[in-house]
Amino acid sequence: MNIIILMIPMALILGFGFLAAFFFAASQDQFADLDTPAHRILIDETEERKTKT
Amino acid sequence: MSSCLYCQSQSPLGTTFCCRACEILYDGQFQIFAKKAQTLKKEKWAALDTPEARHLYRIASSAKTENFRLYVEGLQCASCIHLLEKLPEFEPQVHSAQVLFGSSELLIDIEKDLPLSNLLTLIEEMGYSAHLLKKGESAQESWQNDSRRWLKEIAVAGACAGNIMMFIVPVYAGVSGSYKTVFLWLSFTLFLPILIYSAQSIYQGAWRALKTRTLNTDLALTIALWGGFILSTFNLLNGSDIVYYDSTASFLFLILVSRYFVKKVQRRTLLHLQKQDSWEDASYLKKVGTDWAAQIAPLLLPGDEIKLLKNQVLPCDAEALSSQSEWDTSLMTGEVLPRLYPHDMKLHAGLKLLSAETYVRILKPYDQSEIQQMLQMVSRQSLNKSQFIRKMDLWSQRLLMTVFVVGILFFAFYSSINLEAALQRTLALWIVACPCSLAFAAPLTLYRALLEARRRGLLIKNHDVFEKASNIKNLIFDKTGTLTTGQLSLIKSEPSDLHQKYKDIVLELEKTSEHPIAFAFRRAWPEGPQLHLPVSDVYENVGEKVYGLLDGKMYILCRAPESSDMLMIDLLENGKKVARFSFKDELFVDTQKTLQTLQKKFTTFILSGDSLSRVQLLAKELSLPTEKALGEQTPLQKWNFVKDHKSTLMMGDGANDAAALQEATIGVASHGSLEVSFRAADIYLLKKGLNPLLQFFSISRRYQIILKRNFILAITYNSIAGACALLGWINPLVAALLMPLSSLILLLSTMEGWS
Repeated sequence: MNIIILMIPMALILGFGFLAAFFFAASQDQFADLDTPAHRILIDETEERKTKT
Repeated sequence: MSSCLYCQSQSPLGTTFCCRACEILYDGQFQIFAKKAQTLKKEKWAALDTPEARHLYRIASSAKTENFRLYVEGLQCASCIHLLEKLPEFEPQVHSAQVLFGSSELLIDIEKDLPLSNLLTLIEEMGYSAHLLKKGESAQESWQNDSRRWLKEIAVAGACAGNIMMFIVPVYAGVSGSYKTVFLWLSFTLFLPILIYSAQSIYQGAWRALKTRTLNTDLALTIALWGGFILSTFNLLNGSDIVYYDSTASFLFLILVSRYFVKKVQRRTLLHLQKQDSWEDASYLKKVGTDWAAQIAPLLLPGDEIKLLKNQVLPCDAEALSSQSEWDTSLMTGEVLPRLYPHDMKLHAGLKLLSAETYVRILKPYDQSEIQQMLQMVSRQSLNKSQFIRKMDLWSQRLLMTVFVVGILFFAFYSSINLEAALQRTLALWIVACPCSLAFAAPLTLYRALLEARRRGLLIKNHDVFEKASNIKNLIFDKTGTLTTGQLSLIKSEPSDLHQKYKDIVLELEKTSEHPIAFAFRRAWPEGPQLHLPVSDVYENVGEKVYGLLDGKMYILCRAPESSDMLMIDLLENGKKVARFSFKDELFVDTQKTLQTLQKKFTTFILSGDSLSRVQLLAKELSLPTEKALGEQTPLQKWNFVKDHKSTLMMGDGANDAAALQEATIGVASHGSLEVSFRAADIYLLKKGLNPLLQFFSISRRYQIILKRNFILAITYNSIAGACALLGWINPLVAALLMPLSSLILLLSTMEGWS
């Protein structure tokens, strides 16, 4: 059996698997707010304790 | 600018922290802060605790909790997000808090018995001003739904275009036999989702063009898309490998992406414009029996008697019940000095009370007040404001027409020689020549210009303004709030070496006054009273005189007899004049310089609702001919004036400017405008003063230069590619190289030359 017959469906499944993942993420509003998480990560709990002492 | 001690972001000069959140977090004492916050006064928001008000703002509710959406002004940095999302720690009855930084919104989930006033007081104590948003009022919400659909369309186009390219490369590389057939048919299959799903918005645009019998880029794209599909499929069925699936698909993907970017900046602009005038959710005291109960403005009914406190804004049209009251009308009429209204006087919503407690009776419900009606009218009209035909659209229509006509003529001529080749070459011409810059470069240039404008403090609501800018001949300015700050400033005291004792007496007399003159005194002598004089029996005869006693002498502050405009004030000691103060409407720092630059190119007018003499005085100061400075203008007169002068840019801020702003070729709402004005305007300024206006003209100029450059590039490309197509030199490989190359050149051209 020629390997390409396996490769084509694999490539397609991989490609459309990611597309499906993107659709899922979009419907879960993962792309609704792109600004906040970038800021949220800047301050964490440990940093606060540092400033307290 | 200095940098914040906590988060290192930029903060105003002379401050240690960029926001209150950083200060609280830096101290690390937010538990103490939280405890303190519990004891704060909550009267300001009391009206939100009524069940009706709570119901009005509730977004969703479950068995135990309710969701609310707030618009939070003053979000600065990461600390702001962090602190606001810590709300559940401060207040255990808050279950969750989520900040949407991009749209300045806060989503909260709170227990049903937590009063909203507690929550808003806590947020205010953190240093933000928050407004509750009603369901469907959030700009974020509607964007979210649309953006989800656009992203999915783009994702499908991207995935399919990528996969098509993967399968088509071996065909270019010379693969043959059954592999080639499989790869070609895979490309065909992968093209279908693009044709059916991703291009939906383009079909809608094309349909609009057909309905109005015009040409637009969407129509051209549809023709290129279907032309590419039909030609490729026809060839495929005939066993040929000349297919254009890859180039057509990747081009569509690029166009969808560039359009998405434009929508994204557009949405950012709209988010900034969602601010509402702050009197909607403020508490008002309404008479219930013999008692007073707090109520929010939208729930007030005609006939209700309201006790208005000092500094509150009248929320509805009403009539005065108190014998005399003093009101700040500057945002409504452009007048700098307050007005006195007697008993029974009809008052319009939006006036600010300067005197102490005043009683009024509501005449109309909240949403039927004159200003709300105007707001609705303005929002309606801005939807069907006459469509301006962009030069770019005009040119692209001509270019498209040429491409179509050339294609048809060629087909008619060549079909007698070789029918199949004629069809192939005509379609090839349309595929390579149709999409080009018109669909791609125009939105990108606009995107770049909008970004640039934002960076310089301009929010562009109406995208046509960049092109309209070149036709502007007249500039019309409102005075108060646009050229001047709307505040009075002390320019002269006589005698000039005024004794500290008299300064102190003036400050003590004006201590509790909200009159603009009182503010001017406080600004002029910021160090405050030094001698702690026991001035007693201070009495303000609203709008006329202020009396006070010190060491048995009577001191009176009153208008100088020579001054007709109340711009000169005398201090009398036992009836004898001891000092005289002169005031002037303060100009923004850059007004004079900017106006000089603008006057060289445009005819400049001032239209103000303020008294003629004050407007003339200002014109003299700005070296403007006095016949071009008009005072005592009603909103209708302003509107008529703009109507009579074609090609005008009008800049204003008050409710009295709204109609004129809408009528003007370009309407600019200055910083701090009323909602009704910025809804009527095309541009909203984020910075005070006139400087952003200069920036606007320079951005518009660059926008036009770049658009022209792109257009020349596009014509060059179209001529070369079109000639190649008609000569039969275009094959799929050439198309696959030529189309991205042209986009790349246009992209570079668009991004170059802005700063």
